Amino acid sequence: MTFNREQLKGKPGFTVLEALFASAILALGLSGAVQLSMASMAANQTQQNLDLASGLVQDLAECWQVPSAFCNNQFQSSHNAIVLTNEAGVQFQRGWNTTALSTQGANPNLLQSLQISVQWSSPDLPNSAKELSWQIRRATTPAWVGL
Amino acid sequence: MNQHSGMASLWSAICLVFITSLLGWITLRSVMSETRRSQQQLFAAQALASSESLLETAIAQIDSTYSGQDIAIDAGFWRNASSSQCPATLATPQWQCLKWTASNLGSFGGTIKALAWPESIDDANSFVLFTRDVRFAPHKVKITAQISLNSEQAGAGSRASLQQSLYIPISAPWTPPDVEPPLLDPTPKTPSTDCTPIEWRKLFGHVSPAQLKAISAAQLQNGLTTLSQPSRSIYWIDSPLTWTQSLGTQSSPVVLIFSDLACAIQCPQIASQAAIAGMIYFQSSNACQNSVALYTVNPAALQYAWPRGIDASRVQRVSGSWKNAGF
Repeated sequence: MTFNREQLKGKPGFTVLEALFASAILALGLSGAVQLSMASMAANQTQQNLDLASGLVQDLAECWQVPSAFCNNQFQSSHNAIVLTNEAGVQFQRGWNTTALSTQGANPNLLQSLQISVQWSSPDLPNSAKELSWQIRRATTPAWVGL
Repeated sequence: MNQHSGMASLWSAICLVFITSLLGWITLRSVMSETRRSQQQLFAAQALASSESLLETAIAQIDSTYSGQDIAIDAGFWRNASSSQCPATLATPQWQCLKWTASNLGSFGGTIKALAWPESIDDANSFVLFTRDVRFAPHKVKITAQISLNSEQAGAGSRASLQQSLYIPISAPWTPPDVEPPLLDPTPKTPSTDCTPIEWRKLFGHVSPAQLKAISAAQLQNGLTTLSQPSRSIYWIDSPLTWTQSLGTQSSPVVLIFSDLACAIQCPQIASQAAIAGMIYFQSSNACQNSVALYTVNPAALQYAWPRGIDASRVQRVSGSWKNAGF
């Protein structure tokens, strides 16, 4: 089957200009959509990291207040640091430091402070280090729980 | 119509791109809103941790003030307390309230050193409120810590409040006396035939003179009187002057103690018109020179609710009193 120019004249179809214009709009729109998606993914990843860091901090802070064997063992030394990695390859470094605060009473450990810090950075952006700091205090005043 | 089909295809492409972009935008908004929610949850957790730190600091403040100290320190701790600092629901002389703010360095009187607050707290918008019922439970202090995060924190302005109660050693569990007191009779008493002073411990158990003196001082400072509602229950008297005031009722008996100081030479006389419903105790053997019995009724006025078997000599948290938010 063959066509000549005369036969194609007056038939519906795309002109080069229309095709170029549509392609440009499509490219612009798609690049916008891709950028939006990337921003979403980046925000999501940042939040995931922050959530994980927050979880690590709160987990340790809770553990400090629970006199279980596991938690007591974790706080054998007054300061320490451990490194954890999530599935995205982000490394989280958690460190803590316990100090006794001075009070008027005879008990030097009556009021203690725990300073926790979690640092992390993306493997793709090594200079994008972030840190979450947390401080909590506890008094060793006992609770009366009955006989 | 055929001449416009190219334009229609172009419009279709534009619409598709627009819809795709719109979906992308909605997704981004959704992610950002989720991010904000998550951040606010983190700020709330940070505020809660800071209020817990302040609450623990306040507990340590009380523990360090009362532990191993003469109970007379109680008057120093509550020196700047007043009913006006109480929440509206507790603004009666029964309640003693002391607001501790970081900016008010003289919150506590005497030689009591105030502990430093956690650094994350906005000093201007945070406080600790110590509250106790000086009439019915002077041994129980409720601590409320309310904080706002300062501008150095990511969640600046986030607020949280916590409360917990403590037992303080201003009293002790009361045990029934070894001696059998006579029935209540609010009329003036005839001279006691037995001139041997009754030992303190037999009437007051483990409650010490210093503790009753401290409770008496707290009730006096808070404005409790025989006419107030509720009325004052403990009277510690150091003056040797004749006692002329009628005190107590059958339903609300008092404890009236004339101290060693009041009885230094001779214990004060009780005027004949003064009807005392409750217990009268003279700390000195000079008591026998007075025309009243040494005791008149079971000292219900000093029976405070202590848990059974507790060691009341130290500061302890009241189990189950920890509460998040609210007064």
